[in-house]
Amino acid sequence: MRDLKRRSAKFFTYCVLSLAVFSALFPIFWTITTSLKKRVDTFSLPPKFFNFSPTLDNYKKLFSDPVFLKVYLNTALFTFGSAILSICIGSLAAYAIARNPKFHGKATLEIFLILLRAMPGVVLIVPLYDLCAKLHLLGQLPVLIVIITALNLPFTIWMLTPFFAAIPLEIEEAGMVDGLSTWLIFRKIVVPLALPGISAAAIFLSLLTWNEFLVPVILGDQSTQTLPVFISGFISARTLDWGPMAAASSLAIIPIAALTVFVQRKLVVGLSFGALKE
Amino acid sequence: MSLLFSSALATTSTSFAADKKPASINVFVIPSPSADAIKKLAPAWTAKTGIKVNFTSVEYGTAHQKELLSIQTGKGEQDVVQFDNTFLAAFATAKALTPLDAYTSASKEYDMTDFTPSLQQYGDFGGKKYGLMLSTEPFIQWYRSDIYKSLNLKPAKTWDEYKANADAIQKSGRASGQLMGYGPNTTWWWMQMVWSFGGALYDSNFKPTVNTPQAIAATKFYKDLLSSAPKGALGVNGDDVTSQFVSTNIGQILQYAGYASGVFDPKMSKNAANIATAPAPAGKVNAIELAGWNIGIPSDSKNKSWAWNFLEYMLGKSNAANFLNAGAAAIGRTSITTNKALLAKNPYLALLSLPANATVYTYPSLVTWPEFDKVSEDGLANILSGKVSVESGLKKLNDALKVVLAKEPKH
Amino acid sequence: MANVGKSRKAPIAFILPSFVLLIPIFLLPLGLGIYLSLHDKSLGFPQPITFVGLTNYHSDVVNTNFYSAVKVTAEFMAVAIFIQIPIGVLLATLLHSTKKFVSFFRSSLLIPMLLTPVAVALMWRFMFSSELGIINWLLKSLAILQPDWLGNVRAAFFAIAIVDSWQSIPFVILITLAGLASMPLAPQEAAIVDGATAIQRFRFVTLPLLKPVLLVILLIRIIDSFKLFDIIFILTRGGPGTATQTLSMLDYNTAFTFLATSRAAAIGVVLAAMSLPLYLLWKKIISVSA
Repeated sequence: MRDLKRRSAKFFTYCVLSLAVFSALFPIFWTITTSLKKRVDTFSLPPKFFNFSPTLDNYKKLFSDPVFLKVYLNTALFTFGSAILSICIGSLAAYAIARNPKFHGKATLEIFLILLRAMPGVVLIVPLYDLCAKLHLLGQLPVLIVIITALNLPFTIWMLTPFFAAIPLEIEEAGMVDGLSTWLIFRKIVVPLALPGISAAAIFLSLLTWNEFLVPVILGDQSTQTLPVFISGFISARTLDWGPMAAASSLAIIPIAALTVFVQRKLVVGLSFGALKE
Repeated sequence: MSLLFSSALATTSTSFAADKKPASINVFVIPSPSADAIKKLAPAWTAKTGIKVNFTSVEYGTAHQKELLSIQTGKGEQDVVQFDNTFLAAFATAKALTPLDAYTSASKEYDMTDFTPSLQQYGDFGGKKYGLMLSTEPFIQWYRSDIYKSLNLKPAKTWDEYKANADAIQKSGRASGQLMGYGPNTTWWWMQMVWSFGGALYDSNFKPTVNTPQAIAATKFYKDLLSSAPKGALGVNGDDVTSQFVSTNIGQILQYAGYASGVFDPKMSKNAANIATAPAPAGKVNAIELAGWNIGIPSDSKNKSWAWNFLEYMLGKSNAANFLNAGAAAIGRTSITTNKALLAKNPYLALLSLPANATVYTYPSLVTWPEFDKVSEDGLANILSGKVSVESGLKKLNDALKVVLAKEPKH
Repeated sequence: MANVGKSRKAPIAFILPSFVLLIPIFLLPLGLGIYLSLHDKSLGFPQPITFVGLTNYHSDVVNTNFYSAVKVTAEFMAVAIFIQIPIGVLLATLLHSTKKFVSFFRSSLLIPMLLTPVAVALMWRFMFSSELGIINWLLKSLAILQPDWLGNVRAAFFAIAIVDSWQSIPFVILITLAGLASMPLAPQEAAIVDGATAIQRFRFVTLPLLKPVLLVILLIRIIDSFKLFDIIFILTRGGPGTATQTLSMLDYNTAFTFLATSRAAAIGVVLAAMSLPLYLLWKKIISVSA
């Protein structure tokens, strides 16, 4: 009796999980297959799941567009540039927070960080737009990088703090005994030890920035278009042209999907405000 | 001798020499068949003048705001901008565009007389011309000739006939009767109805008049037509009207003339072979809503004469057929609409010659148009979905529009 | 042993770069936003701007559009709290109890969370197409009512709720899994010995131990549903009408569709004020879950 109950519970579990996995993966499958279809096939009913002759035309169209290549380049610069800057600035703050339960300015920093994290993006973007317009700073990639670094600061700091906190104090004290300054201890001892955590943070920052939309779309221009901005351009104009749109989306999605498989575990720390460990 | 020489200069098409020749000019376009045609033909101009053309393309939803902001920086980032007529008032009031009258009146190549009076004024605001007409897009009827034939129907001349046709088609079960843009762009169709019924959106003092008896009757009629529209009509935007018409079975639509290239192309349109066109139906007033892109020169451009050179080349009389064949939405030059060869291939071109007894309406020249549009759309959504009655819905809309129009600067 | 409390000049120097970044990009815009909200600047009119006091608050905050946006935002938040969290916790629990294919299940379930929201929304927009989309085709073949997902006032809300859930439930699963993985086994085993059923074990053993984790999830879902933007922007732009116009979307539309900078700034100031209580909530949750 117990055995039957357990087996049916197990069956139920696997059914539900399979349904969930199907829901999670089907839209992605559908987008990728659409990107490989000829236009006529994209809106044929009943929908063609597998019975269509695939074509790489949609991708060819994208890759032959010089704008698209620039978009990819912009996205790479935007993403990795700001990730590096974020790590540099964020790890300093994270270390200070990890090592000091209280210090001048900590409370202020915390309030700023949580407010920044909790406020809708538009709230800051409207005045930033006005400010950048006056200072002729619109449409400049370096400016966008600096701005997004600031906006990602909460995430960066919260993701890095636990990694610094986890480093045993004894190691640092050894350095202090040797007469090293705090800065050198940080640079030569702490950072190398925290490298796994820092890399994880860097990966997630890159992911966050790769997906960023509001900042580049409002504060950037044609020459600084990133992938999400480029993709958004597919809406109003060509509602019939699902193929290239699916191809562009796929090119945004596939790298990330591949990345997920490798990095699931590290996600927990940064996304939970550092309240949870791995 | 020099007088002869200079007068000869004055009558040639490139009748100026003021600006230094730039290495390139920047053209801002909004994704559309017209933009595609410009991009296609630009290399020819580059070959002729040696000036490169750089294109910026931004989707409709954010394009105008970007253009406006760019121009206000005064850096001369763009030399040519494409814009929708809905923003003409805003751009002109913000002094964002260079008046073109001096250029157009002196240009034989552009030839203003090749346009009928109603088309000549397109792009005019406050007595000055700020934009050249980039496409001539009156509302016209598009219908399925095969469905009409099987039910023995004739294209409607009045709105009552339009409804009768739609009902007949709907009843036959062969197709949905008709479709208009009942979704996010519903204001554009609703205006047409209001004008056809003899109403107006606001009076000369910028007080809204959307709950007059004429407007109420128009709105009721507009709503009633939903009974012969396909399911999901309330979500249909401007583009959707066309994409549904070409790929599913709808008997007739009211839609801008600029969609022609997509509609008649068998690669993009399932029903291409069975589509025909007719003038928009008339109501008490033979009102025709005329839409279409504008294209102009920003006030901060540093290469105005060459920008004009570009525009004159692209949109001049001698290039018109070429431009059309490059896939652009047609421009209603008389030389085009009466060109037998072109008419044979594209019968709809005849409809761009607006009938003399028609009252031509362009988008309201309001600086606050974006908000007027959105507020109307919201109000109409409630009426069309049946949430409120037509009368009370229009009364509420009128009150809401009062607030919007109160912000309209004097002009 | 830990001389951490000794005077360290380091902290100030170490957090200085952060402040250097935050002042121009956080404080300054906030201040500018307040300034703008008290004047009458508009993108379209280059007229000199004048001080108008609280006029913008009157016209754009104390008004039905704003209230409607509050309602819509609250509704999405409710979906996040009462639908996404329970489903996510359930799936995480089920996943935690399986032995086979764990890695496959987990990776697959987490992918949606990391994808670019803009691309995701575009994907779903295609699937939600009333006539040509696959979802309605599926519903039709099951003889179920096929709503006009993006055009019908009620359906549009669900469309966005579905897409947001598709992306957010994985987050709930992930964090819950981590919580479950770090739970002590003893209480569970004791409960089994006591003869508790799976459901009873879940209610009286698992859930209480998960409380800190759930609080963190709750906080983050509240914040992120308040901020939800990209998906709404791509799918409906806040429409049809104002059916899916959240506070974020309203602020955006005021600023960039109506070009009414100052009025949008007023809305922004109010939104910033609304974020303040979240700081207190955060402090409480961090102290509980520590």
